[in-house]
Amino acid sequence: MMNRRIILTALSLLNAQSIMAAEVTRAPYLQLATSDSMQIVWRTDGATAPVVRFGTTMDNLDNSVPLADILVRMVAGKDASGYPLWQGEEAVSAPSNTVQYEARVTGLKPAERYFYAIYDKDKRITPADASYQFTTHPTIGSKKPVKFWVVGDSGTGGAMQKAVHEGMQKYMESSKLDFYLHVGDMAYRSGTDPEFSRNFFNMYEPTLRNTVCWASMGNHEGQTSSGETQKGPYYDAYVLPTKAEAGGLASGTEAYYSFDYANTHFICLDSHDLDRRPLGAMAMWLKADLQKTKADWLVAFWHHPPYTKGSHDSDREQQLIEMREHIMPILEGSGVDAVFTGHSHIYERSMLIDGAYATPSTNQGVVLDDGDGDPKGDGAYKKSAGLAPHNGTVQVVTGHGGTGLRRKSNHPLMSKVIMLHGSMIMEIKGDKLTGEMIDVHGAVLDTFVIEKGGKVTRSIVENPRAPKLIEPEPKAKSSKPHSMPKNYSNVIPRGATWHYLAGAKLHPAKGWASAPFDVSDWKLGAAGFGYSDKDDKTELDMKNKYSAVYIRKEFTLEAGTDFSALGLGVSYDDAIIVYLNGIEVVRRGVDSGAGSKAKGFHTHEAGKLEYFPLGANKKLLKPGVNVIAIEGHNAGIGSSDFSLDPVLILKN
Amino acid sequence: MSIRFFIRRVVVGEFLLSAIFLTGGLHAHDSPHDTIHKLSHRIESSPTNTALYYARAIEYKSLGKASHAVADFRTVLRIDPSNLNSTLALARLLAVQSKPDESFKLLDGRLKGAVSNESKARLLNAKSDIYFTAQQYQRSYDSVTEALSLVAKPSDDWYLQQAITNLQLGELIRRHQQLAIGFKKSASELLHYSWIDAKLDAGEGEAVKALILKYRAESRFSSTWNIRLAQSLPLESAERKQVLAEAIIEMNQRLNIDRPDVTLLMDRCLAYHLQGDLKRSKQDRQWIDRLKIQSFQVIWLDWKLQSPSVVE
Repeated sequence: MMNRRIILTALSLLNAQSIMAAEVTRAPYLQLATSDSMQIVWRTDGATAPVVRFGTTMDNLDNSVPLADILVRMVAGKDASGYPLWQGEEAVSAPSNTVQYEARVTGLKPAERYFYAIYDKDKRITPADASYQFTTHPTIGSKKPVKFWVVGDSGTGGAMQKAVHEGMQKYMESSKLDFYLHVGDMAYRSGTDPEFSRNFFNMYEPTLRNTVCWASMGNHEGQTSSGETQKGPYYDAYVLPTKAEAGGLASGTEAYYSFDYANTHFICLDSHDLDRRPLGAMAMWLKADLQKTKADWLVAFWHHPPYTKGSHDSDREQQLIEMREHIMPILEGSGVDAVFTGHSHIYERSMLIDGAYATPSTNQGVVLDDGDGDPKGDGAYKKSAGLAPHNGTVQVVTGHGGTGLRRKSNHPLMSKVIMLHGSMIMEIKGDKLTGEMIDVHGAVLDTFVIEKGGKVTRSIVENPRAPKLIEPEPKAKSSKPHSMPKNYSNVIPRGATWHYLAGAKLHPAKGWASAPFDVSDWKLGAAGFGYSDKDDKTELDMKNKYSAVYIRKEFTLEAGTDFSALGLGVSYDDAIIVYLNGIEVVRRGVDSGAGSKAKGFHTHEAGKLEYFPLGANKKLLKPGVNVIAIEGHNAGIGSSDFSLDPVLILKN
Repeated sequence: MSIRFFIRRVVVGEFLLSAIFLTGGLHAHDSPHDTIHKLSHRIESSPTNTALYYARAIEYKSLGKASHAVADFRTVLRIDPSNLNSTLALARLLAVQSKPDESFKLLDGRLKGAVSNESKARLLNAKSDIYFTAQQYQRSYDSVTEALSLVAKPSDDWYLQQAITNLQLGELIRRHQQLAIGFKKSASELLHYSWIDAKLDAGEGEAVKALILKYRAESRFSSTWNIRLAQSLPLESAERKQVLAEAIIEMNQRLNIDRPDVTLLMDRCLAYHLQGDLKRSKQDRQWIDRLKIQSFQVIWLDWKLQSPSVVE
């Protein structure tokens, strides 16, 4: 993208007829944030008289961007005789009537929130809505926390891409992202201009209007855009730094660049169509950029993953091998903390590793910490303060942002592999970097933390652990939900009162699922139990506090009852373990363990009652009083909802 | 420069617009093997669709199957002789396969029909690459210089290629003068730093010493700047010895001994050489050889190692 600014031209010269007809074809979005400036970009399908107003309160947009600071781009060869604002800058890929505006808002204060509005002369284009806002970057080197979204391989325009976006929004609730990173493949199938509009700009519009997306080019965008010429729809869409406008070292190209946010340095590389050799231009720039930065944290991102066994294999494909063998030594020699990539359609998150450059990849001699990095699990990864060379890196493949998922095998350097759609929320605050994998419901399915302090001397972990795999619940015959029988009589009707135990760190004592058991300190409530999805009679305060709920109820079976006719109907979200007289009889969505030691949760949506025949367990039953107990689990503590609504029946 | 040097360049910038014509059937989550399989199937029903052959050639390349890629690029050009991306990719692959004459014939044929300056420039740059491989440095220089004159915003690589041909031709002053032009056009600090190196190589170290000191002060890691600073200091000065020693200590802390960062290893090789520790310098140079890295930078390093002006 050229940065040349047009010369101020008299507004009165505009062709009035063309102005009247124009409509917005790409809604305003933010780009190239710095601590004192912001770019606002939008498109119309004909010429307008562009005006950008901004201010620190929504009701007082008393500043405007000078026309000289609004770059106007049009399609080459266009007859622009009636539109002198265009000084020949091209939008090479856009439809023929397109006018793209790139307004540079300057003279801003660091870390300050501003509201903005776009006008066509006097006619307001953007609604009077507080979501049209931006916040400038803090001063480089300051210690302000940062929270950013990372998503990859999302640009299908389909339901899963939408769900992943909504999952992030649910997780964030009212809090705001500082920016987001897209690791490529944001406009399937070929990164054409219409695909960008449909699969990226339209899809993410509510986020893009107030959140800068820092992009790296994927192979699908690379089919129509070129890193060498910096032309094509990808380069038309983004305004990226070439002259170190946002910190870092000037690369002279939008294909690879760096920027700073407070005390974190971010590096974007082109792994697709530029020279990836260790002494090529991109690598030599990278070396120089890393020498210069004085940040406390270092994050790098690009498209092709150095480590993956998802839909792609990093031991067999040229781009992936070269990024590992040639680029990773440069980054790790400068103390990189985390690397985000995509391309492989899966979520894979590594242990803390260093020096894993061999092909094929091995986990021998390169793992510094084989724990899960979760403070609630094996503990955070520890690193020395600042950027210490070869002190450990976490690699995250975030290619699960919307398109079809696939796994070839488990990569030996991974700590967690998840075959579910989602994205990452990253936070860097003080001496902690926290990464959370968010699913489509806003639930956290993986957490890792890097903690920095003092001087940490690393040693190699011999024979590190194998990765933990989370997959969707298998679609085996046994797991297929049955419909409720047509004719039955209730043993425990829907909405019955159950004893329940629910609360942070509350788990029942041993024997809780058997009779007799003292439940005097348990609460009583009507089923269903849960929150948020409006199907609960007993509302729970689970969200972000606890993820397991236990319910039990005694029931009586008369002598002569056909015990083989007993069955459970239940609507649940996300997982359950059911006990009859203390013995487990049904397990759905929990891989192993029970209670506080339950592990490996799979997401599941509540809905109609699903039927589980219990006749095979008739030997557990007896005439008289019996007990049914159910533990319900949410896949993540931050999940958007939870449901547990059972009914016990006898099939007629 | 070896053949290997060029095979890596074939992937550069050859993808534009090919896939606009790919319609349906290729799933986004496919690996190269899956994609090749599906493209082959589609080629059976659309044998004249050049985009399909081109896409398959790229996939073959990502798997290192150069001969398969050559066959598909040839097919594209049989159907559409004006296809620029396939011309460039095929010419470079043929050079890798030690067929420079065929490469030149292909590029010259396409140059005659080239309409836009950008197309001409890309073809000329490819010719420059192949001349360089053939050690025809003057022709390599002429081609890349003409290419640079045709486009407003050339890639940094082109200026670096022009610089290395200047080095091979002994044109040390022209080298830094042209790098200065490149830096002004692109704003790339990489070209700026290359210009500083070129000034040092031309014996004009005093002119850039203040700049080196400034950049060293701004940097977290100072080894590269200390090595540059040493070259601007008198051979026998204590400061020169001191900054070289500091550079080597810092690089040793950063180098992974098993799998080194080649950029650092190259710096250390030069630092040892400037220190007069020729044994260690030679060891590092042999290590670089074992890593089978080919680059303009390695050619430049060899030039530095041979230069008597830097040996104590």
